[in-house]
Amino acid sequence: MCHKTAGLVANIFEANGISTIVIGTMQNWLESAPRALVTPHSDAPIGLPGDAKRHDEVISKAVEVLRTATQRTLVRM
Amino acid sequence: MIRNEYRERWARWIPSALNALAEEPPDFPAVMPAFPLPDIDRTAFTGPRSDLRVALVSSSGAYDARTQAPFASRSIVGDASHRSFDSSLPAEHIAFAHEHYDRSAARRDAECVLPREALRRAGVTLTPHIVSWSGYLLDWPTFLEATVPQMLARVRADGANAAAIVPI
Repeated sequence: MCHKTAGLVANIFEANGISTIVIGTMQNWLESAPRALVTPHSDAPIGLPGDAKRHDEVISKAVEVLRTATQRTLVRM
Repeated sequence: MIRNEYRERWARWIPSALNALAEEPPDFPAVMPAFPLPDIDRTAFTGPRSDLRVALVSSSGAYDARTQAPFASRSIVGDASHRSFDSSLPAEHIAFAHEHYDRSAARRDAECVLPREALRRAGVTLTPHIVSWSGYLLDWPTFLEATVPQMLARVRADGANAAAIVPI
């Protein structure tokens, strides 16, 4: 339900002028989000504990999607 | 008073789901196919943003353990409320109330689910509050009617033009 409610929140925020990127692990449940970034790290969607390099990679991609996507988008990492 | 068609559909569904949800673990496959979904706009898209002011929003059940009650994560329908707390709150004061994921990674390093430092390193402005809910949540009518508008108001008051939403 986490990913489903995240998609719900994202669509409502987007309809109210707030751009969104959902960063999660369950692709099937993110396909309704306006912008989604799918990562492989179960229970740690940004990356494993202490792995700042991976955290930066994930967040850099998320920020890039916010800055550049011109239509609803799902990106896998 | 105004009737809520979605709440009425949900209220017809929940009695049929309670026994399966009370099992340990809950038998989601038995009941979720019939879970009623709300009719919301799933086409809105704001377009690219350059000057990002980002609110960090998460379904991880995060809360300020010094001043806030945990989410009622053992409730059979979850907890439809939300918390907001200072984005600069030291990690040792952040706790997670959510029964449906392994919280050990988040407890070792909150950046796994609340990437505050990574967002700052990426050069975006992080808004003053983190907003969270506990993602095992079946009371969608209350979430939609009361909680999401409150979260949206918090994010707007903080001057956000974007949100990084991290579900678990």
